[in-house]
Amino acid sequence: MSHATDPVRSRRDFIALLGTTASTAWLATIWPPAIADAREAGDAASQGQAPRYRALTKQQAEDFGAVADRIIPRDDAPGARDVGVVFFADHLLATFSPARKPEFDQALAALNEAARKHVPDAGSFASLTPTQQDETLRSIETTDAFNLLRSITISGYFSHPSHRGNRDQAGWKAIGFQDRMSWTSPFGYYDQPDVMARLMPWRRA
Amino acid sequence: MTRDVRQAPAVRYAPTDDVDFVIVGAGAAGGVVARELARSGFRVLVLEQGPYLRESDFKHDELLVGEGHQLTNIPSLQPQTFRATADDKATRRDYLIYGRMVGGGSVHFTANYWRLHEEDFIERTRYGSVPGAALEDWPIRYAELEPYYSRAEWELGVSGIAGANPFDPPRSRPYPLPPLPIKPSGVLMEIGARKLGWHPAPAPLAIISKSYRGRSGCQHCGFCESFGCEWKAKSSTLATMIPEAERTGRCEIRPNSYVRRIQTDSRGRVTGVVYFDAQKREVMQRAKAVVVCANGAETPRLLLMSASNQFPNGLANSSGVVGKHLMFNGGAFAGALFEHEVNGYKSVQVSRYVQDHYRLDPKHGIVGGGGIDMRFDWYPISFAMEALPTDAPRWGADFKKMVREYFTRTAYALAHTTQLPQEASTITLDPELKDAWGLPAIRTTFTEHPNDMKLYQFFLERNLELLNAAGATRTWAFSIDAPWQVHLLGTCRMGNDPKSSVVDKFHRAHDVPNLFIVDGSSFVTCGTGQPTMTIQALAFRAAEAIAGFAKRGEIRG
Ligand SMILES: Cc1cc2nc3c(=O)[nH]c(=O)nc-3n(C[C@H](O)[C@H](O)[C@H](O)COP(=O)(O)OP(=O)(O)OC[C@H]3O[C@@H](n4cnc5c(N)ncnc54)[C@H](O)[C@@H]3O)c2cc1C
Ligand code: SF4
Repeated sequence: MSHATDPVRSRRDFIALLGTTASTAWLATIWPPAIADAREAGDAASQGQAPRYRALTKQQAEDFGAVADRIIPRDDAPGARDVGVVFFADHLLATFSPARKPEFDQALAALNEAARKHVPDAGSFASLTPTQQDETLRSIETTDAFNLLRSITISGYFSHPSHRGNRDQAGWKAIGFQDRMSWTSPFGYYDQPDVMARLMPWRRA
Repeated sequence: MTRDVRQAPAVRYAPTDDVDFVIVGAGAAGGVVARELARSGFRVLVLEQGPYLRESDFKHDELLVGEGHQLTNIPSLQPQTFRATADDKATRRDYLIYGRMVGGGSVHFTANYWRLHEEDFIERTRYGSVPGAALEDWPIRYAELEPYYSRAEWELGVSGIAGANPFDPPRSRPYPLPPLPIKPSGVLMEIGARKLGWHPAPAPLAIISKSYRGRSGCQHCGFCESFGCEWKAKSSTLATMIPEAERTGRCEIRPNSYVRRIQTDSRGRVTGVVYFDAQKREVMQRAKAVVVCANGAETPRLLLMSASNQFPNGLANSSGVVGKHLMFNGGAFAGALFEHEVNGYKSVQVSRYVQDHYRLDPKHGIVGGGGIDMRFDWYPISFAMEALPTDAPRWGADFKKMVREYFTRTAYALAHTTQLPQEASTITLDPELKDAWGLPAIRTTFTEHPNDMKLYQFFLERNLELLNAAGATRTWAFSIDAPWQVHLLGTCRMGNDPKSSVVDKFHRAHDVPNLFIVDGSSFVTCGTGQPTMTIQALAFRAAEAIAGFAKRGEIRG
């Protein structure tokens, strides 16, 4: 059996993963379309091309983007749409979770229904004002539909950037997380030697 | 070309080769048994349903291990059902999680590596008959297992300090490696626990703190629980036992090989196994003896699937207890916010633990006990999804603000506890649902004993007490109604009486002289916390006994 000679220590992205023979063979058994898509996505993303969705319609992309931006709005860190969660959702539903697409379609349909209940002549959720959008979401925030949209938004904001969300690791930077192969102690405030000496006098005893 | 030592000349057996042992499952126990039997000179073939992944396949990718099930059982291929009691109709629910790959659960586990204590082996004697519980003593005592606990620590590579935990049972050797560095959560734990008069100690971990036997020490990458270690610092069987087994030149590890049946002859002796290969073709592999190490869920399922005219209730099941007494260890979980940076996402999950409540004072009227550690086992996605207090905002500007404030400043207290064995808690074959190979799905039937719920509540209160004593600015509890199901124990219990147990004290099936069962299913009671050290100590002990039987010609009967 052949396999990569060394663990990838630096550029750990999904495309590199798919390039190693052991994974490719294995992944193909459970995520058949993942391989081609990841290559294509990598190419398109690196060339900054206009969005080309594989699973989402244009309207779905707009509605989902609008919801995602209310779930994780922009503050001094980017919002959900800024970091590519719409591309993430498309990637997710086209590749490793196609089985969730019907559920996703239903969730957006439920969202638009709630929007129209709130603003009868609303064309779609995306066409509402942010305040109307928040009011609409409050009316469905305990439903399965909302939970699915929330979970995809959060996954897209914080997942490994190779899945097309979390662009430039902006989601990770926003919370102070870094992906590294190694760390050394002290890891935080409390385990610094002087702090430990102060807080844990028994350690010297 | 590759310089991986695992590329040592690999032996390949033909299905018609009557190998000395087929081992089903290359997990925590299977890896140990394979290495020990191969080293004793036997021809060993290990059939593992999952893939043979290498360190280069491990990624810091939450989606790949979560949604992608890279290292664990895959619900779309092997769906499960669940019901609370036998009176309910089971519905589709993926209740159990286990490692499905060469190395099994030892690859992605958190590596908390606790010995059982002397009293864990004699809870029936200690507590007498507890209504509703099938409490029994083990057929072995701590003292009989102690040499194998020490062997496991030294052969696999375990870090800790002997004597630091005053509740630790007696040991014949110190740990081979010093503990890993204390984490901020460990400092907070020491502060809180000492304030309460408890006895915090460095957590023993099956992770090497320094170079050991050709592997490098932990680099504190933080992608530890639920992930595979790219540095080979986690002492999984994939990084330790399995390459050593292969290096004997007598052991073949055959991945993507899903055993569907253990074959027997007219005399009731095992003749081999039937498995699906990677192309879903059925292959009959002959063997002189079979050792099943497929874990507390898949082992009883395989025995039940191996029913025949001669063994109508399932193989090795004349007692009727195959699949019964399923236990997981229970627990309780609470979170806390601290003033300064904790940065729990760096390094291993746990650096300190306490066992002051390992066995509760009878005045509480609760059987058993537990241990508590402080930890952080979230990654960015899971943290934002579920780590905040239950009454926290779940979306919008306030939600985002809170995730940003809390991620680096939280720590969590997790208790692992006793769960009582009950006859009605079972693994059985689902009568309707089939997996992707057409085999009956696992059906879990489980409801906690009332004692368990009291225990969880007790520990939830201790967790909050600890976090407050550690100086938390805010604490919160998680529901005790949603425990995790990752310790799969008790479903082929060992015992001296063939009428009430499946295997004897050397893990030989009472009903079938050349069939052995060694994994979490052998547990009689689930103990108080972390099972894998005991699973692997049992595996060392069983392998020694099995090798002795084989050498003395005492296997075929
Ligand atoms: C997230 C997580 C964290 C954990 N942390 C800890 C911890 O800190 N401490 C601790 O003590 N425990 C921990 N555990 C539990 C630990 O992983 C298990 O206790 C341990 O791996 C069980 O060992 P085993 O040998 O019984 O089975 P496993 O390790 O599960 O091995 C069984 C193997 O058999 C294979 N198999 C099953 N059926 C078949 C078949 N029909 N044909 C072929 N192969 C088959 C499986 O694919 C698997 O590889 C954790 C588990 C999880 C999921
Ligand atoms: S924290 Fe240490 S043992 Fe765990 S995966 Fe990272 S390097 Fe390996």
